Amino acid sequence: MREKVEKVIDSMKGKKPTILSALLAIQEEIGYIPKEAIPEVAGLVGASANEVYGVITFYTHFRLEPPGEHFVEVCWGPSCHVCGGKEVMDAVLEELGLSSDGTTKDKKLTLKRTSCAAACAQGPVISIDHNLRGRMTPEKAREMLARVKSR
Amino acid sequence: MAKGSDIITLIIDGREVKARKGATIIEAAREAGIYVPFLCYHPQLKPYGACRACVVEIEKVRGFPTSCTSPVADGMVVKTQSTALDKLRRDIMNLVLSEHPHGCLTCHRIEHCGPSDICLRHVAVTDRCVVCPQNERCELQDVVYRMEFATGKPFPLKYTYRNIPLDTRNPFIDHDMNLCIVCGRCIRICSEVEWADVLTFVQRGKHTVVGTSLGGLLSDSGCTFCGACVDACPVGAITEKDYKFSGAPERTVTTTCTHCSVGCQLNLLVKDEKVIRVIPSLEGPTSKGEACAKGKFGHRFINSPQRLTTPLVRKNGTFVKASWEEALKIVTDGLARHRGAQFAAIASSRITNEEAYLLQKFTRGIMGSPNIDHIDTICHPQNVSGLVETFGLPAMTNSLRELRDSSCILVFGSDITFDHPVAGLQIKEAVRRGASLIVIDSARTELSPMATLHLRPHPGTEVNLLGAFIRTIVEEGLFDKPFMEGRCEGFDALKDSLSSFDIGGGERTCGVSKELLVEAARTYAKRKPAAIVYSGHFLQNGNRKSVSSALANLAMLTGNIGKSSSGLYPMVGEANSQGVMDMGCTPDALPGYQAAADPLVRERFDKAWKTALPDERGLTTEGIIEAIRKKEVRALCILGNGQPSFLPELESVLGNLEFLVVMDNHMSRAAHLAQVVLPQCTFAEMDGTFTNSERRVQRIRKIIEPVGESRPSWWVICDLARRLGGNGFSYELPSEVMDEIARVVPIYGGISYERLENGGLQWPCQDPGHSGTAILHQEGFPRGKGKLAPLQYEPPSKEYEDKEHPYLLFSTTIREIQGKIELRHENILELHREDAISEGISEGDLVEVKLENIAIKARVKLGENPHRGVVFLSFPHTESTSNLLNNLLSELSPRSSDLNGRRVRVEKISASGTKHEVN
Repeated sequence: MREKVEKVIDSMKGKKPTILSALLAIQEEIGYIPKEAIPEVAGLVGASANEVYGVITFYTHFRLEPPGEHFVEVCWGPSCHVCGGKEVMDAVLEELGLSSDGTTKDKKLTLKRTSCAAACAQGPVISIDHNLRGRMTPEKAREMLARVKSR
Repeated sequence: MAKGSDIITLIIDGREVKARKGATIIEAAREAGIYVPFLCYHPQLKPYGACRACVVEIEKVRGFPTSCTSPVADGMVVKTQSTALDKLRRDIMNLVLSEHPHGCLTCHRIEHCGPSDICLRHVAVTDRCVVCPQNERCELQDVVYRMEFATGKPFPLKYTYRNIPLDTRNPFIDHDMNLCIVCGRCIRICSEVEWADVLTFVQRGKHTVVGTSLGGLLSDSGCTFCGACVDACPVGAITEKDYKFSGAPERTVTTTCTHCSVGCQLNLLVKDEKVIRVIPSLEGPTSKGEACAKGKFGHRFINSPQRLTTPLVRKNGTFVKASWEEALKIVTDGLARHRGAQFAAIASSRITNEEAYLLQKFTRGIMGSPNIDHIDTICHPQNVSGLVETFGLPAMTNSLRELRDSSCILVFGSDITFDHPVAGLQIKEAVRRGASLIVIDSARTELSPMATLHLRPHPGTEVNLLGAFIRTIVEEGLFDKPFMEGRCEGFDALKDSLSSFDIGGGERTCGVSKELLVEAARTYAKRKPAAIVYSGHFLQNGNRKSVSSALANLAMLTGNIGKSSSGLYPMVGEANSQGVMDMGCTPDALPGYQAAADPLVRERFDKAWKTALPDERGLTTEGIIEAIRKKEVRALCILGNGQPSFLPELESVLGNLEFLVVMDNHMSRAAHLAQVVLPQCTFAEMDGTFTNSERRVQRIRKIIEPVGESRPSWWVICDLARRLGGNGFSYELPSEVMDEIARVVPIYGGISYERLENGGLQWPCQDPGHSGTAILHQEGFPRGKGKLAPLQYEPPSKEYEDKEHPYLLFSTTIREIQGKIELRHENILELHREDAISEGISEGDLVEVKLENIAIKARVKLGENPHRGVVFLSFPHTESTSNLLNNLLSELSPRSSDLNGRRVRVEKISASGTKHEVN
């Protein structure tokens, strides 16, 4: 892990990196922000590790834990909500054995609710590994998740 | 007001108010005594505008701007009170209170309960005023009270308890984020004033709390425990652990810190005759509200149960408690038997000027002995001896606060951020303002990560480095010609002496590359004003004088003398190291650096003191130690002041004495060997003065009654003097001693307690009309022209072969390695890469550093140490390590006060990845 972080940090040198750009590069490369990366980013941009941590926790985009193999997003925006988003969400939570956003025990899937997937006309929507699926029903969602899990 | 003036006029609430251009409205209003509510504003911080409580109305300005972010303008008309503002502020306050426990505001018994009453349980247990550490001194409470009073309407709101666990893991400081109002003052003061960036907002929105990276301990996150966050917190979210629930103090007294020579002004808060809290004073001329862990939290010793409370007398080999009368009688008898040169006195550097003056007057005048010195004598007088030769005065030329405006600061062999943290802050501030920082230090220090250039000479070759440095400046013509011609002499002699210093041979002679050396010399010479800060750790005693001469030469050559933000800053150790020297606790100088060898001077003092001073030359502390070993000095008086270990070399010979009297407030190592131990008051229990390193004489004040039967040493010395038949010791108060000092010491001529009431005075201050001297040598030098001293090249000493102990050890204390928090708790050993290869050691390995019968574990760090055969050991700065270090040092033979220059061997214990604690 240390080598991976160092590789990303080295590639940033001389490019006027900021806390944000360095964190984005690390998450892009590694999939999350490992703890070891915090002091490295701090050293790179001349900030303290505490400041870097503040930035990480401010943005919901950044993860401090490795995500699952697959990434499920359920839209939690108002349009999806009125046309049955909550039922879809309940089904997804039940299927994954989670109580809120997070990663399943087997590290297969990571669930995250999004504010709006910008596809209101097709609501309720969920996205699996960034592929958007509209007109979702609890049954369809269970079926799709089962398929992803078995992959 | 005249056009172009810096003062403008505005109207606040119908009153004409004068304000400084660039000030904010809230500053102008506060200055004029007009109340504006605020929570996130803080006088030490930049405008922030987060809490919105300070909103005002400004004529011809739309909306409700915050007064803490709006600058004043000429003719501006501001209203701080209106119905609309009241409503707005109430809404804001309702939001703040919606998550802040506020039983202290809503309880119906507020008006009935007295300040320290026991709660009658009218409010839920988590919400009682008495369970908030900030009760009675909470800014939020104040703001709400005032608002309720102004509008006559109470706040009815309930609140949601956030239920965040308390964080009590850290030393000194407790966090209760349930009380946090997210004003950000702690975060900003940590960043803007202290340069530490330990605290940050974690999470966002309603989940926001103040915390550290990954919720780690403060000590893991780079905290120096300066306590600024505690003082900045308006509520009870960040509080001191000690006396947490003691509430408001009974009284507050301003005094001078006793922990180092910066001389910060501190407000000591007292309740029930105990010092419960320390808050740095914003009025301190040097500190201006800044402090460090030592000043902020280092006050436990005052009310410590380990304090000596009665005189102790040795009877049949053990100490028994005695009355003052009995003890003083034994001391009088003991001293009466040892008059003359068989008596010696050694002063601690934490005693007051008055005590130092009286001790040397007693030793010389009553005991008739010239043997008087202080414990810093081994380093400090030599560190400034070059300054005496060059300028004629052994003192800092400028004031510490000027460092902020220097363009270049050269820090030479000084662990300033650890030894004198508040002085270190001035350097950090200068760097932030764009100054170049040149660090010349064999070891890595806390400042090296922020240095523009870090030169690491091989220990022992510092003079050669400075010689080459000066040669570069002379050869490249970068020196200040008019200054050389007008103010200095000896330029040619200096120039001639430089030929032996080889710039190109830098790598051979001092281990610093030519490029680095030349760049540093050019930077120092070109960027003006440039200051030199030094204390010379790692210097061998023989080198101290030449180093201080070389540094003085450097400042003079470049004209960096007698001007603001330039000059030389020798950093002395203890609170009154400067003062005890000023007061003549040195064998060669009578008070005010008047030569003891000069018969005319002696005659003057004979007259003033109505006595006959001894005319032989006195012994230095080193000489006294030697004379005790030879049993030539048979009686000794030590005036300690809470230093646990005095001088290891001295302690080892004390057994030879016939009579030893120790005055101290704790049982020091030396006290254990004494015949009589007299309990001494601490700085909080008596009046007096300290002189800080920038020559500023400042008051210390009696804050509490003496603990137990302890008495101030000035009283004890006077009493002993009278018992021994001396006259001239009938002072009623320390102020009378200062009046006598003013009469006999010209540089203190204008100093009196009356004048010191309004802040300190920097000597020279010759008469009562003189306002003190911030910058020395502006017109000329005490010795006439400044003397450039020729330098002596010292060939690097031949390393002797010791196969058993192949490495030379140098140790430092370090708190933080920027960014690399995972190494923090461990001792770190810096090893040269090639040495590491030959030992089979790699980065991150755990090793043992062995010398004699002690072994110190450390984690290996490679890559930065440029010297083969030299290892640098850095200890993290914690209480446990300093105790550990003292224990280690006491096992060495001969006893020594540090580990530097010892030969050691390094043994690998285990490879990287294994964890260990500091022993």
